[in-house]
Amino acid sequence: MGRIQLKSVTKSFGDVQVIPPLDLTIEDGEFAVFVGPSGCGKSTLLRMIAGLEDLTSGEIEIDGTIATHVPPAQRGLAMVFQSYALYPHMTVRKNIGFPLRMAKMAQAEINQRVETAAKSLNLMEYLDRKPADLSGGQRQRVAIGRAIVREPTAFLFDEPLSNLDAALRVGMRLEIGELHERLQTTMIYVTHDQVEAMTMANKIVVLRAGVIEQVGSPLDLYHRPQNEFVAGFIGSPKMNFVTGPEAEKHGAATIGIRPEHTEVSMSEGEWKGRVGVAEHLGSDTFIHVHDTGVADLVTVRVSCDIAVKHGDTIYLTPQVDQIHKFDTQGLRL
Amino acid sequence: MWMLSTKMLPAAAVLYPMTFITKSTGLFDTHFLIILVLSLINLPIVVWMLFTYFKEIPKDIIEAGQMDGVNTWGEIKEILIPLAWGGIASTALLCFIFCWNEAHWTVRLTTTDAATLSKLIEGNRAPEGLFFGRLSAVSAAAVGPIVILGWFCQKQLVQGLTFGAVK
Repeated sequence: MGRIQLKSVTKSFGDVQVIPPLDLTIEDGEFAVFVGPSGCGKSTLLRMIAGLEDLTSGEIEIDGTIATHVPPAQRGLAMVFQSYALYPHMTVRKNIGFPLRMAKMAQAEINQRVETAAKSLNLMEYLDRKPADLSGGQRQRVAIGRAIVREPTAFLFDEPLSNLDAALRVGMRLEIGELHERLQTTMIYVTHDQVEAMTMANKIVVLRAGVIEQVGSPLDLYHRPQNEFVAGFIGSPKMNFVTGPEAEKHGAATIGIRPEHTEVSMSEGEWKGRVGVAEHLGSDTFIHVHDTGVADLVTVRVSCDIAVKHGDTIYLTPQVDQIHKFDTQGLRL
Repeated sequence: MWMLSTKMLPAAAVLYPMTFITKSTGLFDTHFLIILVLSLINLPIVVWMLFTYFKEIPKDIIEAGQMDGVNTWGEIKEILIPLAWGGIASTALLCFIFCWNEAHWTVRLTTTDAATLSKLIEGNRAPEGLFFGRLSAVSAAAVGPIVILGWFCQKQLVQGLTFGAVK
C-alpha cells in the first residue's frame, strides 16, 4: 500500500507563505509528478511528505495513518535526491545496504537484498567501487538502489535527472518508468521539465506559487488545460496565445493554439507572416513566425519536408476544432 | 569570529593575572595546567576549522541519512566524522604543531616539573650570554620532529590551511 493524502497542508517560511492550504490525494501505485516553474513549492511539498520539512499546518496521511509528526525514516518512504546524496566514503555495496544496516537487519539478508537490487539495476560489477569512480548515470542508479532495498511504501524523487546529460536523462527516464511498472509502488516525482512529466506520469500535479493549478492525466492536461497557465506550461513547444479581435471572433478573451494544430501554406491561409528561425529537428521542423498581426510570435510544428528559410512569407491557418478558449481571468471556457 | 576574537587578545596583557591565579591555586608548573592552557589557547582555531569542515558537508547527504534511519549518534559516527575526517586530521596536526611551538605560556608558567621543550631551549640563556652550541643543538632537535611530521603530512596541512579558499 502507498496511499498518500495531504489535508489542508500549508508551509510558511517566516511571514512568507510558500504553500497556501493544499489538498491532494495520491493513490496507491500511482506515478504522480509534481511539475511547475522554479520556486513553485514542488520540492518543498515533496520534502514535507518525506518529513524533512515541518508542516506549518495541516495533516499528512500515509496509508490512513497520520504521519505529520513521524520521523522521516519511520514513514516507510524512500527518497532519491537531485544530487544523488550518496555516501562518498562507502562503496556501492555499503551505500545500497546502509538503510538496511540502520534497520539492524541480519548481514545475510542485507547481502541478498543488495545483490538483488544491484542485479536489477545492472550494478553488479560496480559493487566494490566508491561513488567517485562512477558516472552520473551509475550514481543515480545506486541512489535508486538504496531506495529500492528498503521496499518502501512510496518512492520520492526530487528532480533526479537534472544533473544528467540529455541522452542519459532519456535512458534513466525509461528505467524509472520500467521500475514503476515492475514494482507497482507509489512514486512521487518532482521536476520542472514538462517532457519528463508527460512521459512518466499517471497523474500530473501542476503547481504555481504553491497552488495546484490542475491535477490530471498527461493527456487530460494536454487536451483540456483548465487555465492559460497549464495550457502554456504543458506542451513543447509552448502553446501560442492570441488576444484581441482574433480571439473575440471565437467568443473568448484569449485563444490558445498548439504549434501542431496550425496548418501551414506558402500561398494562402488565415494569417500571413514572415518566417523567423526555423528549427529543423529531422522528424519535425519548428517555424517561428513573426508579423502575423495576431501575436508577437507564433510557433508552428510541421513535418520536415517543408523548405522554408528566414524571411519567407508564410500563411497559417489554425485548426478551429483544436482551439482552446479562455476568459479574461485566464480560465477555460 | 567570536571564537577567534579571543586569539586577538595580547597574551602579555593577561600574563600577570594568569601567573597570580595559577600560583595561588597551586597549579603552577603542573602538567595539568600546561594541558589546560594549550587546549584553551588552541580551542578557538579548532572550533573555527572544524566548523568550516562540517559546514561543507552537503545537506542532502545528512538528509539522506535521516531518510535511511540514522539516529543522532549514527549520523555523527557513520556520516559526519568519516566525511570530515580529512579536516579533523589536519586540525589535529596543526594543533600539535602549535602546541609543540608554543613558548609564551609554557616558559612562563613552568619551572622544572612541567617544563616543555621551549623551556629547555630558553634555559640556554644566562646573564653571561647565550650558550650557542647547546642552543643550536637543542633548537635543531626541536625542529626535527615538526619538519618530519610536516613532510609526511603536507597534503593534510595544505588542505587544512586552504580549506574553503576555493570551491
